[in-house]
Amino acid sequence: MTEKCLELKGVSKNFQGFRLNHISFTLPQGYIMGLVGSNGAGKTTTIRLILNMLEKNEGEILVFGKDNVLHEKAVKQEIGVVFDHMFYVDSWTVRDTEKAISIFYDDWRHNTFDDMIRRFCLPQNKKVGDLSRGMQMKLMLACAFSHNAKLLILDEPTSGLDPVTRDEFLEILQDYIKDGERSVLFSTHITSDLEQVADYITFINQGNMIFTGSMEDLINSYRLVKGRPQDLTPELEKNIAGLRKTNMGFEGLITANEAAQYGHCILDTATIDDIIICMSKGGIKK
Amino acid sequence: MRASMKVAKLDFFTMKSQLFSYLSLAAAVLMFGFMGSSVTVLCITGAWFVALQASSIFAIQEKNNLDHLYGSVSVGLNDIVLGRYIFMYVNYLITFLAVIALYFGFAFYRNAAISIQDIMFGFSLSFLVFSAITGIQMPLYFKMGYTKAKMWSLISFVAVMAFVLIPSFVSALSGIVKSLQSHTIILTLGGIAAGSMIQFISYRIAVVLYLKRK
Repeated sequence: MTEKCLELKGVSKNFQGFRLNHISFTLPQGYIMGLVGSNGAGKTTTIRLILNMLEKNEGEILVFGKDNVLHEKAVKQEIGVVFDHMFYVDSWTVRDTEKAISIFYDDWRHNTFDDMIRRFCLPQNKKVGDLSRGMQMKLMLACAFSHNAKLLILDEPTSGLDPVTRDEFLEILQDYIKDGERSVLFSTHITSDLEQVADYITFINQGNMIFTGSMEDLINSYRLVKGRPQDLTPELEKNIAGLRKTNMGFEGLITANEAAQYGHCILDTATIDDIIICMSKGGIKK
Repeated sequence: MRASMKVAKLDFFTMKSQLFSYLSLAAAVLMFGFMGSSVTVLCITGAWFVALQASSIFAIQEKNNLDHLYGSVSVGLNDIVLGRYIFMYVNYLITFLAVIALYFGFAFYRNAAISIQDIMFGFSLSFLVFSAITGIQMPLYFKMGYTKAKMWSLISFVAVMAFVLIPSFVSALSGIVKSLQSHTIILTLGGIAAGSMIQFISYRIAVVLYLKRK
């Protein structure tokens, strides 16, 4: 049986004007899961709850079977984190960064860090603040890899990266999980990245969980429907998410279960982008 | 405690770039020394400057998103708070030792007598001043962060100044102060005890306020 690397059970967090509502998903060991949703959907809140940077109101979070609050220090020995912005002191050099971060980990591997900075071509004596966005992200990754993290949590790491660096970054991720013992939770709204690397997808919209499961299941769960204005009846309209009507016709998203009712229309495979955009506009609840 | 020591060490790494400020502080204390001030004045000046520097670590924390770093490494929030208090205290202690070294240097240079009682009194009063200022400042910075708390933190300096100056204007209080000054040992021990108490209460408040930010 596949080991569970990360498990969220009915996790909720209340803010003024926003609620992250009963989020549940499981990330098996050795896989990459994409956490997707529009801006403000609750992706970063979910990540901050996993890292115990926020206190949850309800639910349970297990990392390698251990409660993330009760066993916070042990759990964090196993987690590597990369945020969308730098969180090291900008006056540190690459070498200073290693000295500062290594003190927190029992299993820090200096040789791995050296290998990483050589592989990423990171200049040892350059200050963190003077590194490019891509270099900063690689430095965060080098630190995450050097303490032998079994779970990598990435919060929008590719935003602001050029396509070449993004591609290189995705290759690094695939390489990272190769041994089957390491896993990645990857929050992003650049869905093309996920199509390249993700095995599982969890989709959150306005604090509610819409879908969690394999990438294939997500794609197979929805259809993009298109048709002429006269093809659309009020009854059919009710089931379409993100409906866009023009004089020429209509377009929207339906669940695969309802596809039979739209046999007279054009049905296409929906991309992750189609699903996020249409669901964000509203319509289908699940 | 081990995790808190790691956080204190991280704070020293974080402040590495501020070494110039600390050297300026040493220069300022040196200047007071050359002016022939007593060891008590030198110690209080040192404590005052260390307390002034307290905000720097919070400024760097805010500027560099270090809350994300603290959230990702293997420490709890109370370790972060305790580590910061240890960092501040070690800063104060290093400054005090530097002041004492200067005092010994000047005493040797001028062939003056060295008074251990004066050194103890200087430690006690400077520790009380340091504890009072940082004891008010630290919970504010933990609660609000640097930008929001920097104006409020001035309260601590005003409060300590007022505490020092009021006895000069109120004759009844100045009498009490003079009477206390004649009991140096009681005043020394009282200063250390009061300073420690303030630090402890301040730490407990800071933990509660920092946890509430979650």
